Amino acid sequence: MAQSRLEKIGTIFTRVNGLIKAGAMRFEDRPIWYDLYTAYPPKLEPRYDRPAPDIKIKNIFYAEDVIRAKYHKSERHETLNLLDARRKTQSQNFIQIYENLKEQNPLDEEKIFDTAVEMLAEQTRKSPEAKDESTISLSSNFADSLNKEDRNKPNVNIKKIFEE
Amino acid sequence: MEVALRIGVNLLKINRVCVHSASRITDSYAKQIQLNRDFSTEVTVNAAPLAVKKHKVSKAMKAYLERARENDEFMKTQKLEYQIGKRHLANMMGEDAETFTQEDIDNAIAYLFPSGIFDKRARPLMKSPEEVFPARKAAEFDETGRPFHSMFYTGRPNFFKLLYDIVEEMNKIHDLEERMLRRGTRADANQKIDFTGFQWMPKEQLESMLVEQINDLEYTNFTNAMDRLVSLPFSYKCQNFIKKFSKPLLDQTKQLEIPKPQFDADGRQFVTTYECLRKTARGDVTVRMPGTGKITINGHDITYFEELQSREQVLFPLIFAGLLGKVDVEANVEGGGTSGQAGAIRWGIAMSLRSFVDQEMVESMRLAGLLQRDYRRRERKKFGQEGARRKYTWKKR
Amino acid sequence: MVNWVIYKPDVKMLQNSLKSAARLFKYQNACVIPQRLQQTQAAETTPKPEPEDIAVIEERILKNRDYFQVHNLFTVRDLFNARVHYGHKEGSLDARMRPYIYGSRLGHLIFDLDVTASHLRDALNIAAHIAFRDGIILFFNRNALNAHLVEKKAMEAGEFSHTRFWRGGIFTNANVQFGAVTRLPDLCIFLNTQNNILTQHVAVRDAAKMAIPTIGIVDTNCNPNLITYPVPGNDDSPAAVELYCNLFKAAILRGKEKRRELLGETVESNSANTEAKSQQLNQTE
Repeated sequence: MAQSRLEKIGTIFTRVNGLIKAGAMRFEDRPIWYDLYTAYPPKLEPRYDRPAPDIKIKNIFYAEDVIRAKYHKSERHETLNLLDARRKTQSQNFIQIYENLKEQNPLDEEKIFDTAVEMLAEQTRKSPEAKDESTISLSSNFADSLNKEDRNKPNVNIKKIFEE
Repeated sequence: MEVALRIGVNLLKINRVCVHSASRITDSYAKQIQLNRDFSTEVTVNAAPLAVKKHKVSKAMKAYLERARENDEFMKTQKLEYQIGKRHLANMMGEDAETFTQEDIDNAIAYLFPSGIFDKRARPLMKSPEEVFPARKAAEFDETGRPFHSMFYTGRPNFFKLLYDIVEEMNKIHDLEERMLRRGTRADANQKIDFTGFQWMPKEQLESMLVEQINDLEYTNFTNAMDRLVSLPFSYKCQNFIKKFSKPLLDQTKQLEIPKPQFDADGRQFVTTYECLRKTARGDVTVRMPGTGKITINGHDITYFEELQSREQVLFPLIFAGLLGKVDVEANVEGGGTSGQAGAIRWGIAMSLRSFVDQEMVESMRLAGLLQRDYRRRERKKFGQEGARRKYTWKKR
Repeated sequence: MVNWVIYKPDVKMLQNSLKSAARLFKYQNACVIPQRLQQTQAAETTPKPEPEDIAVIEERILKNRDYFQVHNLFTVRDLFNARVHYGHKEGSLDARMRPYIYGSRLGHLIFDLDVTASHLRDALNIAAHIAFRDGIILFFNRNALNAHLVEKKAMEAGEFSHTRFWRGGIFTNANVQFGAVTRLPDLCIFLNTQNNILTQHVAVRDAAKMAIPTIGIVDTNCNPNLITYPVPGNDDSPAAVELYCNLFKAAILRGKEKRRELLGETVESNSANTEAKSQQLNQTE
């Protein structure tokens, strides 16, 4: 194309527009995106030298972060399956219990915390999943199946491929 | 004579192009094959469309059509010149121009323009323009300029499509493996692909198959990907795909058939090897088993060769195979000098001995170079030099 | 402008859309052009109108904000599920990405998905329009993890892909590189705009040089300035990239199908349009 190849000047639209106005490109020969750009211009001009806006990045915090941090400091971490979006995590359960307790008697935070920890422990002991939780893990499953497969052992005595 | 000269000029013109174009012909040929028309839209128009499009031909297509037209015109004139040249040649050779074939043309050219040039491609020739000029590169895009191949813009669409296909096969096998693991079935160990004795298609062959030039790094990527595919436990499911790109390693000992020994009047086994060549010597060798170690060369014993070196050459295969004193050797040899004759006999004995030793020994003989014909010939003397390499003595002062 | 839009879903269409709930919304109902089409459906006796030049239609549909109804292709929830909101760590932030960022969660940047959604809808609209105008669309991706996926989706959409090392001059020196006059793409879609974490893809610059509009998924470490229609979002996770690919593919197929419908063409052999085919089958049921 005939336009300036210097991408640092203006935008693709201003460059092509300049050509059309100056008569270097006929209006019928305009690229097919030209009308689209006029109809739906981008939100910000795609200029090379567009300055960076001075916007401060705010921190994301939640009210329950304080109690969550406290919980994570005291308890050991559980193993998470990131693909499982349905099951609630330990800390989510904990926070729920904590909130419930706090609604019932908004008094001593220390006490509520300790009770919530106990209640959560109770809850996990009762749940049927708790027992096999420790045995089920993706990596051990995979290792088991590999062992079953005997895939790690080399197979030697086969030489019939490609012979038939 | 005037006619011959004219043809000569024409020939030269054609010939020059021919040398350069040999590689390009295959290129364009395969470009035509690879046309992957998936991305063109073959359509039929219904009776009453709501819109019509103006027939617009893209710049790319216009340029292509222009080139095609030029090429057609060029070929037309070339064909005409070829026909005229053919008639002149037939006239000169006193034959009928109508029944003058390409073979006749070649013979006539070789007769009229004898050439001592070593390179055959540099000798004068006259061929039909279709053979001499590469076929025009077929368009890789439709009339709107839209390319046919999805990976056209990578520049090597066929190669990258191949890599894509390999990954596609791998994904299929991974899926299968997962399903099988769930079901508890394992890959059949007996069907596992044994890749020993095979290698991946060499780079040149792959290039000619894809009709694209690839660099070493890309070729390594290809072999790595294929290795990975083969290493999968269920890789035998895509055996046909793997087979397309693998090539058996050539085994010299398997390639050359070992002759079966025959029996002579005494009931002894014997094998005769004809055409034992070394330098300008030429001979045939007969080995008999069992024997007493008697060696006959042109009616003499081993003292036929006066030099120890040559005698050693003759005995070497026998010593190597451990059959010295156990076989009789008869050799007739002519031409060349002593070392050439000795070399010819050595090769003949080694080739014959293959019939009397086991496979392992044949392989070690091959590795020792006993079964390799020695193709070295005398190097010519150069002018301004004393010999092939030696220069005249020269003192500055 | 709004007067143009006529919402008149007929019963048959409703049934179909109920039947294939998972299928794409039958957006043709809400489009502008079928005004005449619907009239002919209502009264079969009226003579068929003269076909008009597709360029006129192309011009007219621009008056509609969202002619191809790309806004119903996805929801913000879909983006969230596909992990589009995850950015990189704060240290690698490109200052030009600040307006698109919601905040920083313990050092990890999080995109504002409302902003992302509006940008993505703009981009999908452009892609559909380019496809409608029979433009060439080229997909880019330099992340080896997602390369196969991108190539596959580009093929399915009947478009083009480049996920390999970018030899300089493919755009800027095309006629030499390809040995003939070559039509360059009309739209480049970058599924990631970086070669590696440090350098930008050269094709971004080259596309700007050759006046080719670009759509790009820009992560928090990318420079959105040269991208015509940037879409802020995670460009590393396969789930996110798959979502983008599916969305662009759907938008492109909508554009193409509309064009074919208007031109009255039926596809005979085009592997890329299996989805369109199956939709047609559904309608005949």
